[in-house]
Amino acid sequence: MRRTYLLVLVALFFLIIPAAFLYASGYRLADGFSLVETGGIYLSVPEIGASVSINGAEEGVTSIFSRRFYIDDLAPGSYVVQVTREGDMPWYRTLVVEPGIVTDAHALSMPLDITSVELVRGGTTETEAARSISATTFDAYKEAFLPEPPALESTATTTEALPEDTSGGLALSLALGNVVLAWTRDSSSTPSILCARPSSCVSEVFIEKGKDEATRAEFYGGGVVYQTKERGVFFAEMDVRPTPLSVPLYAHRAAEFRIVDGAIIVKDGTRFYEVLGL
Amino acid sequence: MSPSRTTNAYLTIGNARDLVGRERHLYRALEMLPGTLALLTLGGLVLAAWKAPVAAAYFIIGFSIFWLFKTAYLSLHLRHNFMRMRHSLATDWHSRLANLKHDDILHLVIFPFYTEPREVIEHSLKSILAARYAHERIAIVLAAEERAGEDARATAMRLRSEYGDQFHSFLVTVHPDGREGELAGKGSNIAYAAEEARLAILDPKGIPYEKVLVSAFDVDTAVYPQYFSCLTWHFLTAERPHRSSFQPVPLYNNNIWSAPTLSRVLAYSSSFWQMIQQERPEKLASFSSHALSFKALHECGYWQRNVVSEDSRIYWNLFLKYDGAYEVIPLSYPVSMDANVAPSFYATAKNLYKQHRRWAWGVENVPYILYGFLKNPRIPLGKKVRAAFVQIEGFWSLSTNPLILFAIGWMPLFVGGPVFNATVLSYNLPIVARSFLTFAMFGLVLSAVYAMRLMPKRPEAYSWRRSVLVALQWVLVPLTMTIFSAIPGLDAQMRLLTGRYLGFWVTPKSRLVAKAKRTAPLTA
Repeated sequence: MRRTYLLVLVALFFLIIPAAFLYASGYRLADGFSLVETGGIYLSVPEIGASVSINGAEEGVTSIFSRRFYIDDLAPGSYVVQVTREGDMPWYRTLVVEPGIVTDAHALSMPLDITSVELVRGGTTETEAARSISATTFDAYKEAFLPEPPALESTATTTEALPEDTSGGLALSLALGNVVLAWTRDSSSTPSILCARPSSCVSEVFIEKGKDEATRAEFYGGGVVYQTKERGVFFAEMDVRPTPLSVPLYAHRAAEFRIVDGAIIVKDGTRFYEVLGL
Repeated sequence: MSPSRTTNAYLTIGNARDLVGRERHLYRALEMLPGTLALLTLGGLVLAAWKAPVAAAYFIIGFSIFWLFKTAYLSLHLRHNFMRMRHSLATDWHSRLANLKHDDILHLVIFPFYTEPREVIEHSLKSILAARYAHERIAIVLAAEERAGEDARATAMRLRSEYGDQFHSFLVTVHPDGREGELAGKGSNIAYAAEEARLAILDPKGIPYEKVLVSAFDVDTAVYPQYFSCLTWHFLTAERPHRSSFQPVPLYNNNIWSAPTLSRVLAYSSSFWQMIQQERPEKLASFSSHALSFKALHECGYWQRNVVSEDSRIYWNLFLKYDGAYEVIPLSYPVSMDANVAPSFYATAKNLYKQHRRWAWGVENVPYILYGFLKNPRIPLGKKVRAAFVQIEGFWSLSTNPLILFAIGWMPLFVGGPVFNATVLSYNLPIVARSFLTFAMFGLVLSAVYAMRLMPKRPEAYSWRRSVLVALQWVLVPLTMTIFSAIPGLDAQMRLLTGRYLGFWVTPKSRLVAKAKRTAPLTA
């Protein structure tokens, strides 16, 4: 009897092993008992209560316990991923799924109403359009906009500009009035935001490119805040895949921004504003 | 005296220090084998997770499936032995002896003790008195230790005066401390006691050694009512009674209801493993409380005095001495011992760890067996290969399998690199492996059922909530397998690998006698 048990279990073991390996690698049975190597999508959503759908079919709603979705068994091809939530701009991304690979994306939560409130030095102003802050804080914001001291004379032989901002291997720089996002580490670890498809990645991409002249850019809230001389301050999502979000934060010519203690402070002439809602 | 200078001197080797020259180097190499295998496995898997994460991922998935099937296979054995044990407990062994001449069989029961409280020993003695067997055919040896002090000896003498006249004989021995060549512990104590019993009981009364059955118990071992009848029957009907050890199933029911959850889980895990092994007697070695004929015991010079694992070592002593013609006969009949209990949770956990490390120190038998196989050409090669494989695989599994399943197995996800982490395989690895492990854990439901049915009736001091806790405790198994099985196993093997030999550690026995928590008398 023991030998029978053993033989049956050994036989089952050798039957299940190849099936398990193929399944774990993404192979699925297609029509006509052929095997197709599928891929997957991994989506992370920062907010709860967001509805996730792929090609129009709902995958679920995020909750406090579940803000990540792994959708497997996807045949290779393009998929439109949509995340909607009341009060937020809908987020869309066209993701390419390749065999045996999981395409990952992070949905950005962008409120519909992004406002700015004027900052008043001292006093007790508290309205929708303006609010008072302490003199110390106001002066700190004002100081943040002072011209930066000129760089020490460089002994470098190259003319390569220093990045405006860096974060985890990504670097923001300004080139000919455009905002460029670049990956500074090994190409094998290029993040998916720089990959139009998993097998096709680039080392840099334009966040802003056009006639406007960008004069400043910084990483903020999973995206990039930048300013142009012509049109003011913007927020843009970093992603080479269509279609990344790009919204104006303070659309006024010559407006400048600084990020002070996690707040986006805008200087428009002699007035200072704080961008809210982001 | 160098053991290598006598023909069978290898039979009494404790460790490599007992040898000299080339033989010592050889024995050391064999001592390093189990630990090296474990390190190569675990280290190799970590390296593979880093350098070849795809291969490592496939290995882990395959291993999870292997674990599921192994668990299923072992569960079948457990089920069979559970039913066999139930049948054995229900069998009237006493009646079965009616047609066998057995009134000339003397049972010599040896209780080694150190400083355990009187009530522990008394409980064991009372269980023997409650057994359905002629008490005048049972001789008791209380084996005290000189280093335990005068109080221990006095306790033994008081017990002798109270109970001595109810048995064939009641001998109290005091094992002298610091004898040359001995390791302080149970093995040297009971070996001394056995020889004293021969001189004081067997020889003066002219009792033939082949008519004496020795039960080497722990001080807290309590017998079930038909233990002696069952043992006698198996002895008298064995094909080679003097070439066999007899192994009961160790249950830890003496204080199971008052023991902490952790102790209960580990106690029954240990019992279940022994029950599984009872269904695979070709892989069984003697463990803890066991029995054998005095003739065989005397011929091999009693238990080794220089090792910690004297219970399993005696089997291998006899296996080698008789050129492989020695076996363990499973009784499928239980004896009861104490589950590990200490005043605090931390103390209990510490004691459990030490106890399991001492049990895992049975790995010291691996070099002994392999060395003995090299020295003994008369043992059939097939038997050597099978025995060596079973022992090496057993200790390798103990120290590596839980760590692979519950710890190292997930390493490809962390060190596999971004290329691997983007694959479907990396995302599916935890899902697939977890699925198979979850199926394997269904076996815990069976464990809970068997445990509940093997436990004595719940004392009135405990409510139904304790029973619920007893059923649910099995969710701790992944934790106990790793912390109290694999890690002490690895600890023991690393000690052997580095030559830091373990000494004997006495498991503290304490009974919570307040609140009437003592378990009811054993019933079949």
